[in-house]
Amino acid sequence: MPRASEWARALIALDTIELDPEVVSDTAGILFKQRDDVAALTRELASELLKPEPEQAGA
Amino acid sequence: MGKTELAKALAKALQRELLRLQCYDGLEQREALYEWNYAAQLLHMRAVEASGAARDVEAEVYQPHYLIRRPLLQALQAPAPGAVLLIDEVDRADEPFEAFLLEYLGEYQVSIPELGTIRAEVAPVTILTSNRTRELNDAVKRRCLYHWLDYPERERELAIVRAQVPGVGEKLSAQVADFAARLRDAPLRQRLPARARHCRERRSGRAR
Repeated sequence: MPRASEWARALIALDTIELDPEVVSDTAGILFKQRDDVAALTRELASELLKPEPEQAGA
Repeated sequence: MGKTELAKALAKALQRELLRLQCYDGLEQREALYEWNYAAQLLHMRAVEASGAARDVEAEVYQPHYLIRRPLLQALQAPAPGAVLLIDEVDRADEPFEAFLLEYLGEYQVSIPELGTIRAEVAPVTILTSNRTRELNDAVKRRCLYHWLDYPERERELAIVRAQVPGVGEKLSAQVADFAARLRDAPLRQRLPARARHCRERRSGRAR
């Protein structure tokens, strides 16, 4: 996986203010070299991964 | 993941030139070490033939200026203080190539039939990188010092993004770092996350 900073630069070039599933799956080609991985990062999975972390129980 | 930058930084710090050999499936000795410039040699031979003179053509065409030097040979012949040699993605080359590489790394000299043995003036500082798509030969691994490059922790990655991408904005950079961290744990990931960098260094200056 390439560095996050490369991805950040591309996102800025696309005028991204914050991540959404669409821009994530659109820029999947920057995150992965393997075609299968790029295809696997669908909007659904991106959505899933963008959800905030669940609160720790008893924290 | 910064392996080329590391090699560049090392070269700069040591004030040596950086030479790079990119490995790939099917990489052969002639791409890595040297080959003769057949086309130029042929032209030379034809010219001599046409002139009708009786000359030792063979001796003329096997001269150093007809030799195309590739990174491994260039590394041996780099003038003082020597070279930093980056052999990138060694796991992509095949086993016969690895065997050849082992010999090269053990001796830092090559034998060119027509020109004789070429020894390194100053042994190169050699860095091998691997994406660990396969295990390397034990004999190669034994000769190396290891340096593992792990992916940075989220906090460090966030700091890196903010340092390297000035216009990024607090929110987006935090999201990027979070997302990158999660992606490494996601089922998408098919390979090991960390890359192994094998560093090989010769302590002594002369290679024999």
